[in-house]
Amino acid sequence: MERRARFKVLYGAHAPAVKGYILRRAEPSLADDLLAEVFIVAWRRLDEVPADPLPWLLGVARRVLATQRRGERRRRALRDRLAENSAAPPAIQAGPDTARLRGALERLGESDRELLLLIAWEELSPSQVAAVLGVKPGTVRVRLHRARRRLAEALAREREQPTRCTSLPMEASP
Amino acid sequence: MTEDIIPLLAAVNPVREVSAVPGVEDLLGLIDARDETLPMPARRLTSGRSRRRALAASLAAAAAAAGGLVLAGGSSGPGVNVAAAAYAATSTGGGVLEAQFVDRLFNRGRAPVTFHRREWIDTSTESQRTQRIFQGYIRRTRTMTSESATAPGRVEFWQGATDAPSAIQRFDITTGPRAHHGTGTPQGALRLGPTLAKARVRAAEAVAAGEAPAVVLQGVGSPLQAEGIGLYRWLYREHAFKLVGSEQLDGKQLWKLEGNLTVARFSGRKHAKVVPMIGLVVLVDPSTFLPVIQREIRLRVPGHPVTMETQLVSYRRLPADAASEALLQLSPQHPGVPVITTTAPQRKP
Repeated sequence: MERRARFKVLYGAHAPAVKGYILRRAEPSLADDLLAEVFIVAWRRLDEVPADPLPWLLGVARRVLATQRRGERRRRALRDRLAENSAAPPAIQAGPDTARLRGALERLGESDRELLLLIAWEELSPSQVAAVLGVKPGTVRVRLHRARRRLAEALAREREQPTRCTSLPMEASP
Repeated sequence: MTEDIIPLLAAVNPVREVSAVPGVEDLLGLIDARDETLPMPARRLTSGRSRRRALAASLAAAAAAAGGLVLAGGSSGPGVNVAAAAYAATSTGGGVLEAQFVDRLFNRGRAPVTFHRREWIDTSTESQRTQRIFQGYIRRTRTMTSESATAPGRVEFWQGATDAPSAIQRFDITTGPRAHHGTGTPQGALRLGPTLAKARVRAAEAVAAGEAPAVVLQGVGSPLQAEGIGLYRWLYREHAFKLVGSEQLDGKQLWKLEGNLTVARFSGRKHAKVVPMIGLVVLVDPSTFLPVIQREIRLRVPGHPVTMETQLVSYRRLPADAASEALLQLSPQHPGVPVITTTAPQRKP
């Protein structure tokens, strides 16, 4: 019973943040299912959950999302059938700056992009990001510094020569 | 100088407010169900990794036996979400679904009553027509056909028998006394009157006559969708379905979904006691994701007896045209029959 109570507290405190993380990276229609996957892992490894659970949960979510992406092709047929009920990934209205930023993000490597978005969208500290990514905080700080610089450079290039990109949940400018 | 990129990124966060998360009890139910699907030796394993492997192996074996897709337990997983796929399989996206069922009603100590049921449903407009043909003596009548048609804000009823009125009764249920849209019913609870639970076929009459205290599904809006395909879909939408394993039927392994209908019972105007009253078991074809067998279980009776078993006989999609549209209404099916429209009286304060 105590285990269930602990789990309920964990879920109540962090499920919205984990869902937000998932929503920013996956189709909304999958969010609740992926959220359940994350917390099923949490249930099984409840004794391993650290004192600051959110980075740990986001790390699990990250792996669940990676698994989900690997299974994308297998699920494509089903998604077509679900198309009626599936919304597109959350999109923001894109102005010219947004489109440039989107293009600049696309120019970055996956690890740089994830690092920046964990800071900017999930509002995590570098040490929390380190917990999510499974690296040392010092490593995160170094990589963050480089990623910021690369994104700024990519943004400058994007302003000169825009690229068309598809994988981020932002609408291209008209 | 390098510009600070983080505020720019933060400004384009695509999800600033997160929608509500599913209830933790639903998730714990899913976890319990998954544990139940583990074979006994695997259940004794203590390592999480070993348990996951055992779970994956058991599910893969079940899927292989079914000859279908590799499915995962619960509502999702590394495979296909069975409940979502079943929901999608019954979505029309315009057009009309026609389904034929055979229902067997089990009454304590009596022989089962069999009737044939056909449903036409347009999920895009939440319109549905149901035709039931009873084979047995009911009110001294050997065969009786009854039909109901629902759409948001409207219920129609027609009964075809020698001593039955031939008129179509039409009721405006959304403005009536029993169409509760106010506070008091927790999310996910079905407002279902006891009259409907005992005699579903008379639901429309009961609502209109005020016999059933409340039979409006939250988010659906009409009482007769609390059965058949409509009920099936509603349970999915309310996250009330969970995969509990599989069951073999006629040599075929079918996925087994279970859900409970919680019923809000009112002791006052605002407070409701939510009780699980009807359990629903749906066996789903692993290749088409259509419901094959649906069983209703009375949860508040000792032993949880099955009160009705429904078997899907056929299923087809009809195009979105005038002919299909007409199938959702009673008047085009019974030309020349007068329509008596009733506005239900207001609810007593």
